[in-house]
Amino acid sequence: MLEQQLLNALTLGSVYALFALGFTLVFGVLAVINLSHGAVFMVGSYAALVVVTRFEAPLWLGFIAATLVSGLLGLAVDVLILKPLRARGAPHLIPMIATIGVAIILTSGAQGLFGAEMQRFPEGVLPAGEFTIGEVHVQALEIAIVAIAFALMAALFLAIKRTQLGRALRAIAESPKAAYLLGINVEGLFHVTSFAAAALGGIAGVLIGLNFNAISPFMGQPILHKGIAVIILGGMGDIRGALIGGLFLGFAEVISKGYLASQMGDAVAFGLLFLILLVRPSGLFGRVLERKA
Amino acid sequence: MTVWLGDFWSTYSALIFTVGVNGLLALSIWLTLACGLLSLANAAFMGIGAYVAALLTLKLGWPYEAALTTGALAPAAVALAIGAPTLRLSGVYLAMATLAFGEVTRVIVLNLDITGGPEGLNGIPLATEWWHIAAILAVVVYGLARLRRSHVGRAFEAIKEDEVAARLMGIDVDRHKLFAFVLGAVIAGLAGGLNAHYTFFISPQEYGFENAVDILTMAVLGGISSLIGPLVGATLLTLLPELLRFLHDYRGAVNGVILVLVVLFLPTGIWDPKRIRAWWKQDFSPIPLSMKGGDGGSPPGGGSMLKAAPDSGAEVGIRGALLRATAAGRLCKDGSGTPFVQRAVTMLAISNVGKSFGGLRVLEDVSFDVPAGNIFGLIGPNGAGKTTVFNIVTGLLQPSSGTISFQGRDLAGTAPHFITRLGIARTFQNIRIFKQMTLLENVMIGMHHLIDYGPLALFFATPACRNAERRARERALELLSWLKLEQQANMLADNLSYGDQRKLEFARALATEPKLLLLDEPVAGMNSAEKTVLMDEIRNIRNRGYGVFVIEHDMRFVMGLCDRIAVLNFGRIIAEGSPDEIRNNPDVIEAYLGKEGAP
Repeated sequence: MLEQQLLNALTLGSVYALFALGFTLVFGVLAVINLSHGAVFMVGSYAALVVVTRFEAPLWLGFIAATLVSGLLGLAVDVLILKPLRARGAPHLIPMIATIGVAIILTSGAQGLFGAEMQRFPEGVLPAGEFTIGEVHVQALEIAIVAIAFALMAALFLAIKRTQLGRALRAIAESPKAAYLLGINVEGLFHVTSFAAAALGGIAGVLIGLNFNAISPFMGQPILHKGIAVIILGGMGDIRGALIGGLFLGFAEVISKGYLASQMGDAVAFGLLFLILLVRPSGLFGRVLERKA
Repeated sequence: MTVWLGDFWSTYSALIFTVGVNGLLALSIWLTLACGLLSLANAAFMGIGAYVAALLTLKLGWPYEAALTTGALAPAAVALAIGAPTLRLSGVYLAMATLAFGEVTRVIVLNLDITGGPEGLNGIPLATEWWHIAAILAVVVYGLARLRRSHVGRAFEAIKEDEVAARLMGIDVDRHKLFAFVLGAVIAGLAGGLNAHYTFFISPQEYGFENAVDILTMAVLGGISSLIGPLVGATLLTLLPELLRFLHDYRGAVNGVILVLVVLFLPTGIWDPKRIRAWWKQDFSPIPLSMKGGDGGSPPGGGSMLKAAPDSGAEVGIRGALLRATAAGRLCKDGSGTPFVQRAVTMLAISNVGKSFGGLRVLEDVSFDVPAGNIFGLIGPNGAGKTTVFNIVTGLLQPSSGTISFQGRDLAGTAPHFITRLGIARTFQNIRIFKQMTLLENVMIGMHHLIDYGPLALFFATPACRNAERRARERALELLSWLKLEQQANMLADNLSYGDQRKLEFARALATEPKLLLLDEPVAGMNSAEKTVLMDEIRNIRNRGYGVFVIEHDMRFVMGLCDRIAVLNFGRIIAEGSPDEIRNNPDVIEAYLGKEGAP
């Protein structure tokens, strides 16, 4: 059964990593803990659901809808809320609180629009195939989830490591001021980052929605907690750390649910996080892109 | 009428209770925010308080008051235990760590048998009366209001603005942070106990992440620049969902919209005393200073310590009490202007000090003595390591090798605030005053460790406490008027000109009653008239028996002022001697003065 568990863990972990990637990207570049990321994730899964059920469109259109809706939402948050706060030089606590407000609006809005009850993708939308390798049942859906998550993450890594845009982003992460003085369009890249991070979050929302086949207005909160755990583990603002941390959390969760009956596993997990922060604030795997004030 | 009132009460009493409890919670987080700490542990502290108090009344049949007290002390004990390591973290890391702590607490409560697990505790006695909440809220508000106006409140503000500068003003930053954290836990625990005993039922769900965020939101929404703000925020966020019932599922969205709008358009929260005053168009003129007796003329009493005026022995009563323990105080009673301490006595001895950062050696085998009653200058080209010497002497950095002793006492491992208390004060090259505090408060921060009264004296405003505060205020005004800043005493330091900011920093350093004054480029940005004045003042300080240790680039200033000079180049002392010796030292001319074209 261990192989089966590992597959489940890989599926879950890759989605966590994808979610945390956007979360950590915003922290690394904008230096904001964006607590609306969970709600944006939830909106993404609803966007796909609406496209698939109301318009009876194929699932890939659902993904595109999620990307656009979540991405534009992220962009709107940056332009309408975070940008004025940056212009004012508000202390870091303030944008975080503003994003709490956004999360409340989105969650409550989704509850009003779609109701509080859980919703599912209709039969036939999900990729159905299933096959067996040795003892392990592999669903096409799981393969698709892992493939999409890793493809997106690989694309992001390459973009950040290899392109001019990525170099500019890394420069901003080190020091927005220096980047600005070097002629980098810092504000523009903040917008791009916000869009990309939110779009990744939205896609992660669809993937989780498909994996558990359950969508609700409240699905953003638990994953936000996990996102926080992942970026603490991987180092805040560290992209590689988010990947490793996400996979690690997926494995830890599946293994502890499979082998530890009690939910005490969560307490141990957060207890460990607490200790990690005390001992190594930069996370287990990563280096913090620390800003010089 | 009474029927109506009875109906009203039975319908809304729980809501009103909740307003009070949320008010307490918002105040509990105000404490940590006041020190610039973003701690999200207060929901967990509330939960601990609620469970402890409820279990005591429910399972052990304890009297309500005893249970409530224990419920307040339990989270305080936890805060004390986790505080020291946690509060070393700053900013977002602290928020994350306290969040993780909150989750641990919630999950533990969720999984214990004694707490009833996810079902929570049912049937808690309904012991909370309205007056319990009102009385506790009143005591907390009063206590915090007293605290804000005390040296503790000023220390909080200083820590919030500039932790390093606060440390060097003799404030034990770690202790103050821990105090705020623990006191916040007590208040949150009280709120938890009160809440449990009118809701009948508690469950782990009520103390999670969302609640931590709610508490923070209440405080920030209301505004943390006064105590009324958090209360306003708590009231609003508690009542709003009730008022918006007609919006059904969307009513939560209104909360969110209000939160975003307030953050965007009312940066200091809904209740900002300054804005409220502006609304009322009240001219808030500063306290007239003439009543302090300064009035621009001859400075009273203690000002004499700083001016070597012949009348300096006249009035030492007020300040004498304040300064009784310090050498400065004793010196000032002498009044003659001649140094009390023998000149040749070494104050600060730096022996074989080395410092490296990573592989970079910044200081190598640096040794020199700063004698009492002398002005000692340390000069050298940019990047020679001069400020590093100051940072090591003041305890901000530990030397990699060598020793530093002050008045025969080895300073190794001594905390910066304690070094200040021993009698070393400094100013900074890039001025580090507390810009959001008034001039008066800035100088009073310097006296932090000289003001000594206990928490009870503070709470009850005993004469001892009031006198100590008044003396400190008077002394601060003397220092300000000596530097001709008394007219601006109640102005925010941010509004001062550059030169005045330097003067203020100087006053603040003197307020710590130092025996040795470290001045890091004191005349940078001053015009020659100001320089001359400052030079005279520094000489006066020297003549009182203080040691003065100056880093400066301005050669004329250094040569004209210092009794002895050491020259630092690439982390090594290349010469030491009188100004004349330094002027004629070929090494120095080559390394430093030659480039300047001097002498």
